[in-house]
Amino acid sequence: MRRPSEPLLRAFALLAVLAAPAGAAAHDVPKDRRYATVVVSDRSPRTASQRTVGPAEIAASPRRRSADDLLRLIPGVLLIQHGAEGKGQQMFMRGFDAAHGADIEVKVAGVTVNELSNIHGQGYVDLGFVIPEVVRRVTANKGPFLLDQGNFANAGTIRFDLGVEPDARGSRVGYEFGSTLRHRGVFVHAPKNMAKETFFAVEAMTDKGFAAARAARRATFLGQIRLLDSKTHGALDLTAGVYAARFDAPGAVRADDVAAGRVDFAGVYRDDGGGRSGRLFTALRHQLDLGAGKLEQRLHGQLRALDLVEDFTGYLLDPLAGDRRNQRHRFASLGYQLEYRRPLHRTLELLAGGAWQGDVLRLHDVRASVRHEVVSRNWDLGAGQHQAHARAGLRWRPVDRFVLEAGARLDLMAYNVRDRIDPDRRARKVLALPSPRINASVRLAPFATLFLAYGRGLRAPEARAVLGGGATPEDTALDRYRGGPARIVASDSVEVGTRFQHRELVSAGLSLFGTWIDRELVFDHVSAVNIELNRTRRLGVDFDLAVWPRRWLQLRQDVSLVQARFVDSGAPVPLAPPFMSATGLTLVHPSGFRAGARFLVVGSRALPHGARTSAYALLDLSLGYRVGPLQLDLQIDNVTNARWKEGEYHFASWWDRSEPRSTIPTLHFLAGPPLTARIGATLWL
Amino acid sequence: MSLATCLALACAPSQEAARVELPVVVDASRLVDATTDLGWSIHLETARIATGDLEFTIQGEMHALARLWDLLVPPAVAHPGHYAGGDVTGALPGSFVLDWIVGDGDELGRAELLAGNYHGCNIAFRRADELPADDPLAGHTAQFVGTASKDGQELAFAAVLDLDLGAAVIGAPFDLDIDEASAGTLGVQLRLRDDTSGAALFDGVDFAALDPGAGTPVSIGPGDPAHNLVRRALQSHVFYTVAPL
Repeated sequence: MRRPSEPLLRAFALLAVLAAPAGAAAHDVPKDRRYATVVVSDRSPRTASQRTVGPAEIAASPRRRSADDLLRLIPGVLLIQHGAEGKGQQMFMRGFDAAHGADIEVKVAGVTVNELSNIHGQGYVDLGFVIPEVVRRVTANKGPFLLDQGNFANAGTIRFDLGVEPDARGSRVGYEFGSTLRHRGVFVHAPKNMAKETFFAVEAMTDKGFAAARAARRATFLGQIRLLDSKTHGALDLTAGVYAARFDAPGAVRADDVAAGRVDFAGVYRDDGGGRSGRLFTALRHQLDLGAGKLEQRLHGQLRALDLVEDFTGYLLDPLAGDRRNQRHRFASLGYQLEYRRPLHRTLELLAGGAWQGDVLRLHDVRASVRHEVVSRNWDLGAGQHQAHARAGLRWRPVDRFVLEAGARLDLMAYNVRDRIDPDRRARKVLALPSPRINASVRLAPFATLFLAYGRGLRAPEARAVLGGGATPEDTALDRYRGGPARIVASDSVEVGTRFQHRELVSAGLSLFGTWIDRELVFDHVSAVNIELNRTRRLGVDFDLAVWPRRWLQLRQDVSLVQARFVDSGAPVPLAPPFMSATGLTLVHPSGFRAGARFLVVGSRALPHGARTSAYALLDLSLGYRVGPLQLDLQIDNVTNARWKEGEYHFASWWDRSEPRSTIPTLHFLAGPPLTARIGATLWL
Repeated sequence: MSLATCLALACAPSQEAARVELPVVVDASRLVDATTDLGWSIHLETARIATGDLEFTIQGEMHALARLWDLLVPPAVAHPGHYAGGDVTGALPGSFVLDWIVGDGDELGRAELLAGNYHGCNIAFRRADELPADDPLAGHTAQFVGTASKDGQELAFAAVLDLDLGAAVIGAPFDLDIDEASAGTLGVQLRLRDDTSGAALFDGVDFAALDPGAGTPVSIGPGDPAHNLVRRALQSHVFYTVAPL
């Protein structure tokens, strides 16, 4: 009877190790096969801010409800969920309000999952189809400094590598129950005799949510299999997934209504918002050694559906039927990628590659009545679009301590857009942008490296922007700004930084970065105009420190400071977080005990028109213990039960029609989840 | 120490935008006689327009090129996460009859404005259905009465104009920096001729051709070709200004 408590006590006692001198941390590697190190030793990062999150940190991280949540492990990334779980999150990084993914490129198994021309938001990212248990590694490359970073990578690229590490292979079945009446089951089969890339996983989840209109459901299958592993024919991996989800969309509440007691802090005005999301995903990767060169090619395809009903403005736009907006996005794509590396000389390596992706889209956006019937059609488009690029560069390593990687890529976008409301409206456009990229590293000492990088990032316009502004009444033509032409938005970024890594004891990075955008183009879907914005500048500092007193214990401190401003006026770029701090602990002990903690502080953010968001601090915890084939887990989000506003915005709305209509913006917010807990059990078969 | 700093930073509450209330009046100071493209000198004895809400807009961070035109500014950001460069940040809601002759100086109400750098005003038109039936403006949007003179010929005229539901002046000039300490009065001005573009409100109207003779005033009303000319001009921002008085 006393046995189960002994390892727990021992594990808690291990926290005393924090007081031990780091120099005494001679890592003795246990022989336990379950042992997983928390040390992520990236021996050759290409930029100072590159961050790799390893499997142990993923497995022990708190607040890991979905793959979206794994993005929170990237320093300086802020996520805001203004729907329920299952809707794409609003993302922020390096002073960019990337909305649903417009400025952060996200790749899963090497395939970009940002959706060009998504009706709900440019670059929309939906990671619901990724099961967290089969994410082997998350890597962030901040800034657009690498040749293979493509469309949407103005702020950077985040890559999800799928697979199951050797120490976690086998079959397991898990069940999780949460305080929000959450039920989640997962089954993972990763045959021990096969490569880490091979797995099959199934997940089903239902969650009532912490308040009204926060329910979510999803079912996912994701599998990857190594079909071929031959010295002559290379390795062939097939990835396939099917995903379906339903979720609520609570909308935002007015701060003045909450203050007056007219609406609860976590309340809603309407409970009929929500959406459905579905995806069929497949990718075939082929890796082959061609003499001294290495070839990697990938064929991928997706079918995608997204339906949304949202209302953020009440009766402001339509005093009778209301402002519900029903959006429907259908999308099919096929793509091919090619990458080739070959040494040209003892010190010189050729880097070349290219990609093409073709999409067929159907986009609907209508104003809907209370019964969700069409009141008016805003958009009904059919579109075909192509994204292609070619890239070439050289990697020069004249001496062991110096590496220079330089090259350029040429991106091409082609659109053919047809308005199905007005068949006479049709637009075709081809756009191109060359982007130089360069990064260099100099090892100043065995434990210290200096990095320099420059790169041009890009964001392609959406199909609606290509079609241009809406029909302008003949007798008011002179009064309307017709907007700028659709074009690729380019950003120029630099980064200077250093990384200090002393064996597997400590890693510290400091990067200073700047991003300049000469004239940003934002498509305003209300007025159907490409609004050109003034010059912006983002200057900032990223600092990260990881200490591994033991191989099973990691302590982290990440700080991101960004000043994002319009150059001429000095006004802040709305919504971009100027300050973020994350303090974390990851513990994966050979005894079977594991724990994770993260204390996140997000500073006040500027909103449009001079308003500001509140700042907040959150503490999340996870605890787990594995005994024999049984793994028990407890996750507690928002341990202090802080009353926080996850999303805050400044816009006009009109919900109470007995009050006068006002078009003046005011504060709105979405409550963040209060203290919630999830317990889980996993049985290793 | 770092924890304390973080906690201190995390205590900042939300902050609403600074806002002020300023009175808005009808201002006839710019309503002077003007000559049209056909050479008619217009003098008004009645100038009334029925309007709905007045909205005041900032340009925000829209690029300066956009200022070559006046802006169609969205009434709201329909998705909270997406940034829009310009916005309606001030308003005087209500139903008004702006009378630049009899009602010069009349206060329409107090507009609520967020602090900001203002560039435009949107004026919604409506039909004056609330007026008594014997009022010439009843059921219509605008009424102009006056004289048109050319080459020694003087013709009296009376025009009533109807504008469609939803019609509005977009982007009437309103250039003013407003902060929490701003005070004073805003005047809504009408002019018969815009010196910058050379356009006049009654451009294209040949009063002589419309003259019924026998001293009967020229009548311009819905259905007349002249009505459509003036109605179109009435929606142009160049004939309106909102200015601090």
